[in-house]
Amino acid sequence: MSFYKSFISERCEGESISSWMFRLQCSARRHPYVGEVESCRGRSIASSRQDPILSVETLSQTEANSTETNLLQDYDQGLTPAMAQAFAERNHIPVSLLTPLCVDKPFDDLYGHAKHPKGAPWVGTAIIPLHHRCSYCYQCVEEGVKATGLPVVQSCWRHVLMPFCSRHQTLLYDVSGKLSLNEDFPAAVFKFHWNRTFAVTRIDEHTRSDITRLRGAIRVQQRLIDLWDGTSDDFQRSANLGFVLTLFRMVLQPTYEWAYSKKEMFNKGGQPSVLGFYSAFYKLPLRATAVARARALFLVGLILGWIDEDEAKAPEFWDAFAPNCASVIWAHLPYHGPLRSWVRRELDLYKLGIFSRESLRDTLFGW
Amino acid sequence: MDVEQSLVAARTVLEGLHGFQYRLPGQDEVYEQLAVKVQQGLVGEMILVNGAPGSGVTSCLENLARSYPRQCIMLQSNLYHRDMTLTDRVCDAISMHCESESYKEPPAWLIEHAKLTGLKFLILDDLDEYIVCAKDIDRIMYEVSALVGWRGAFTVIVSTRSMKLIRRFIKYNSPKQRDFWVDGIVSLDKLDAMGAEFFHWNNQLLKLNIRWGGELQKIKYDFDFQIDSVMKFFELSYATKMIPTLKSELYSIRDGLSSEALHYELLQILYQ
Repeated sequence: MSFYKSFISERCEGESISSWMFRLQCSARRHPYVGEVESCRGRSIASSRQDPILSVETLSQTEANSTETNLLQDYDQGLTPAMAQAFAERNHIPVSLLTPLCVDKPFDDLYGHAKHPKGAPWVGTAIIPLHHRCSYCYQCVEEGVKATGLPVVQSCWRHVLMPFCSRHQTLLYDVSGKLSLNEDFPAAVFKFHWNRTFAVTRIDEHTRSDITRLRGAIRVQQRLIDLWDGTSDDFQRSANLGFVLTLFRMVLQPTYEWAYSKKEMFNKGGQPSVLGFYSAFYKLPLRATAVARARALFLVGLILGWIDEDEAKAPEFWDAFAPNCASVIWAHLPYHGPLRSWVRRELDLYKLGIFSRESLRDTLFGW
Repeated sequence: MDVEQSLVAARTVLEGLHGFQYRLPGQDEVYEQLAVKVQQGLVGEMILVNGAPGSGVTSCLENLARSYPRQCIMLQSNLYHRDMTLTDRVCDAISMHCESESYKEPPAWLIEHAKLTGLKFLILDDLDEYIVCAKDIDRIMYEVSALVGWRGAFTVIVSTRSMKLIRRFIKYNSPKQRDFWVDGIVSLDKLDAMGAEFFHWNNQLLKLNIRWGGELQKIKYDFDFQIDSVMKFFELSYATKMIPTLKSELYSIRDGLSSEALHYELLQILYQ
């Protein structure tokens, strides 16, 4: 244990469990316990040398070890002792290093889950699933590289209502959706950023030109965090989150796609029309890019009355058709179809918090 | 200790598995010059460190990597990774390598990583280990020069015994190229102290009590005081003294037996 503590850097503040485990894996690979520096497909050469003959059986075992990793395991959503044990065995590290993380309260429990009174548990989640995680703050990644030598991924980037880095107050970038399931996601993020793809440039342009709306959206995000932190009652917190999430989902539905720069709306997951209404209602926000989520947060701020409409009407040359008052948003909620009634139903389910339909700005008459 | 154990211990010493390392002044000089470069963070240089076998080139580079872990990366050649380019090995050393990607030239993110972390000194001990066939020499030289000169992010410290590589390296003749020679000559006045140190080291390792003394008077000076020859002599002396029962047969050293001949005879005794 002391051997490992000599070279493993501590978990950074806010760092996701998967990110720290990735760093742990890298350290174990660079400083294997058996004393060899190099490794061959996840297995140290020294341990290969212990085999009398590198036989076909040994090779096939090595192959099996290399593909053993279950990429769909989401360590950030709660690390179970069994998962910790499997990880420790695979990387030849003491399991005691991971045990403290098993009792760590997952981010999901803190303010990532709105308990849906009637729905399935996944309905209420505000945590972006592993296969859709794309967002990152480059400044945080850079700080991680400086401090630890490896990029560091924060857990809060997977919260759907947090399109901005809470530390640097910057809009998050999005990597290609193909990288979401990579075990070395932190490294992939760093590489992606420096490959200077069009995506990074476009988000930089967007940040420069849409600065007024983005400032408004940051304020909304901060106010939501303050609201969750200031509410000690879990039930209240869950109801508040559910209410805001419902509005957030509403403004990310295809009905409102004219309010966004279309190409920046979804990173992965195909056309929204492929999904049925109810799937789309809950899943589309989880697929949306940080740019789209920031815009949605701005619209939610308008509906909640947290953003001044005069401020919202400030001239922007980037996206001139975006709604700038709550009445426009309500006016585009279609009379026909399930969205209107479903939103109403959901808002009523979560009205036990500080929010209610009546408290919304310019709400629909007789709704 | 019975005869069998003595034999095993004597073989350990004779095969050079004792781990004794004598630090020569030349090694310290080169180490200090390299350390200054690392401390100053001078990048964009190609440095060749060379020396006689056993003069401590590898130790010098290992010490450098150990003393400056935040600035230096010591790359390891791996038999199973022949297809990897030098840049791939750098990426692998910093745990940022993916099997599906390969780089001939340093990518932008690697340069940025070096700037952020300060890991700018790449140490390649025994560069000839990276070479399988003749055309690899061109490839290696291209890759080293790409790491050094492409965007000027790294300084590459190289050691090699391949004369072809050394010739290519000198022919490269860049203004930012530096050569260091680790002197492997042991001065006569230090031989005795070195021998005593060698015996003490091995006594502690093997839990024996073999005394050093008188060997220098017995030998015929047929070696040139290069460190590897001196070490070989010490190993022979120690191994000889470990087998008291066979000692009488080895007194032929007085008759002017060369160290090569003595080594051959000892091998016959120990490995029969």
